[in-house]
Amino acid sequence: MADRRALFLTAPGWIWLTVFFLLPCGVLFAYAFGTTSYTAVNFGTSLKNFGDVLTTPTLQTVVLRSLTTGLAVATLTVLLAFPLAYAITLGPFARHATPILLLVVVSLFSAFIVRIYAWRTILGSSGVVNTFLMQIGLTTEPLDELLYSRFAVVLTLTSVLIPVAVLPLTAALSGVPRSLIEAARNMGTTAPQAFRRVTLPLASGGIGSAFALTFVVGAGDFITPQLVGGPSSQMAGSAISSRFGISFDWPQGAAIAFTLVAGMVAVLVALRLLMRAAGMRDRP
Amino acid sequence: MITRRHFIVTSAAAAPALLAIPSVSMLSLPAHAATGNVVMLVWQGYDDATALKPLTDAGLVVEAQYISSNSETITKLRGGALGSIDVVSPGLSTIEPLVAAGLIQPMDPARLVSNGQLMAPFANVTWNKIDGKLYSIPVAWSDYPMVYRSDLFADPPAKWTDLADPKYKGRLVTLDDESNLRILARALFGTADFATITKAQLAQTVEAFLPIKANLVTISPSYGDIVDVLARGDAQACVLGWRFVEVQLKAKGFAATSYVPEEGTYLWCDNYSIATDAPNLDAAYAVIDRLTSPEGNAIIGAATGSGVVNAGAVALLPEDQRALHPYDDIDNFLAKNPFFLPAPLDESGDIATRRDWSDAWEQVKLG
Repeated sequence: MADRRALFLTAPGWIWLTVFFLLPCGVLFAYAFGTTSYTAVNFGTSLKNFGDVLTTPTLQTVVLRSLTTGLAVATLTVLLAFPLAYAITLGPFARHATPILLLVVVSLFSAFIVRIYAWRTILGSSGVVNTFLMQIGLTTEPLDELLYSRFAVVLTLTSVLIPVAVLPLTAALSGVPRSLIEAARNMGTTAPQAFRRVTLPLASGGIGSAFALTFVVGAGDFITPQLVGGPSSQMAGSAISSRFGISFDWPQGAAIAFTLVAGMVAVLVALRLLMRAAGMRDRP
Repeated sequence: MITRRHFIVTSAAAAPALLAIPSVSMLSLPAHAATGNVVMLVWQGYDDATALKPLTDAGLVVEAQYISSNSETITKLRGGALGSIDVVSPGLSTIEPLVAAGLIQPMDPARLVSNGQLMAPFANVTWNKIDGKLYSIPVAWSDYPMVYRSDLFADPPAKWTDLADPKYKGRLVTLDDESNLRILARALFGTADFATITKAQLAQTVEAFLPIKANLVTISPSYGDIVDVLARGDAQACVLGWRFVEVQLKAKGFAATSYVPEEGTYLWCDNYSIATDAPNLDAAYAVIDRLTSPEGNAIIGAATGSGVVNAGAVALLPEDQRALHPYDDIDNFLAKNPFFLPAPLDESGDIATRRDWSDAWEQVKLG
C-alpha cells in the first residue's frame, strides 16, 4: 500500500522524466545504430557509427579534448568556488551569506553569450589584458595565446560556471555542523586536520555535485570553443551540432553524443572511486 | 551560408538601408492578394515584414520559423512539419534533395508575375527545374569574396592559394562552412562544377587548406561574429567573406574592401519553394510573388546585402547596396564567377559526394 502511494506521489516526476528525458534520449540512442542518406535517416542495428567515432582520429581527438577540457574546467571551478562557499557558510563571511549568495545568483542572470563576449573584450589583441601588459612594458606586442586558444576556453567556462558550483557547495557546507568541527578540535586535531577529516568528507556530496555539474557543462559546451577557442580547440559539441544541423548525419551525431556521455560517466565514476579511496564519504 | 541571414536582422546598419526605400511598401499589391495564415520556414530576413506589409495590411497573417542551415529545411519538414509549412527558402543545392524526398511541390509559373520579371541570368537557372517541372524561384544571390580591413591588411594575396603563406599567420578569420573548401577547389581545379570533383581532388583540397587553417585566428560561427572579430582587430581579413561584411565594417567606421583573388569565386543563390501539402497554397503564391516583385526583392536585397533577381528591383536599391554587385555588367561577372553546381547526393564512382565534402570540412575544422 505504501509502495503504491509512493508511486502515485512520485508519478508527476517519473512521467515528466520519461516523456521529456528518457524517451527523447532513447530515440536519439536508437538513431546511433541507424544509417542516413542526405534526405532520410533510417533506424538500424549497425555498430558502425560507434566504430567510426572510436577509430576516426578527428573524432577521437574532439571527444578526448572535450573530456580533458571538462576535467580542467570542473577542477578549476570547484577549487575556486569552494573557498567562497566556505567563507559564506563556515568562514568569516557567514553573517553576510545571504547578500553574497544573492550576488552570486544574480551573475547567473546575465546571458551566457554576453559573458563569453566580455572575455573576448578582456583577452583580445586590443583587450584590457594585452593593453595593460604593453603599457607596463612587459610585452611589446599583443599575446596571441590569450584569446582563440584552449586557455581562453577553460578560463571563460570556469568564470561562467563558478556561480553554478557555488550553489551545491554552499548547500553541502551549510549542512556541516560546527559542533563536529569544534569536537574534532577539542580532541586535539589541528585546523587543517579537522578540515580534512571532518569538513571535507561531510561536504563531499556537494563537491561531487559541483564537479559533475561543471564537468558535464564544460565537456558538452560548443558555443564557447567556437567563440573564443580558435581553430584548434573545437570540441565534440561542434561535431554533434554540425551532424544534426548541416550534414544530416543524425546517426553519427547520436553516436558521438553517446560516446561523449559514456566518457563523462566513466570520468564521474572514477572521481567517485577516487573520493572514496581518499576517505571522502559524507556518511560513515 | 550558415548564418548570414541571422546576421542581417541583428545588423543595425540594415535599418538605414531599409529606410532609404520607404516608398516601397506603399506600392501596389500583387494581383492575387490572399488571406488567412501563411507559415514560412526560411532564412531570417526572407520573411521581411516591410516587404510583406501590403499583404499583411490586407489581412494575411504571416508566421515565420527560421532555419540556420539548408539541411534544417529537410530536417523540419521530415520531422513532422509537412502539412503545416507553406513556403521554404532552399539554397540551390538543397532543391534536388527536397524534391527527391517529396518535400516540395511543383510550382505554376503562371501564378507568379515576378517569374516573368527575372533578370536574364536568373530566368532559366538549371537548379529550379527537375523533370521539366518548376520547383522554385530565385530570391537572392551573391558570391564569396575575401573581405579585409584596408587599414590593417595591406598585402592581399594574388591567389587564393597564397593565403597559405606564413606571413598571414594570425591575421585571418573564416566562416565555419564547407564552402571554404569549395572556394579552394575552384581555385585549384578551375571549376565550380563540384559534381566533377573526385575524392582524390577533394583530399588534395583538404591538404591545401591545412596551411591556411594554420594562419586562421579563429573559425567563426556567423558573419556577425566575423564583423566583430575584424572590428576588434583580432583578425585583419576574412577568407570566406560576404560583401555585406564590408558594408557592416564601413558602418562601424572601418575601412574595408571586398576582394576576389585572380582565380575568381563562385556564386550561391537562395530560392523560394512551396512545401508539399502546403495548407494555404494561394497565400504561398501571393507571398512568394510579393517577395520576388521589384519592391519586395529590393527590400530583401537591401536588408540582406544580397544581390536581387528581379530586373525592376535594381533601381530601387539604395546606392551603397546597388554598388555591392555588378548589375551593369552582370553577364560578364557571371561568366567569370558561375553559380556552383553541387556535388552528387549518391556515390558515383570516384566523384566526391556531399557527405564527402561535409566530412572533409569536419576533418579540417576539428583536426
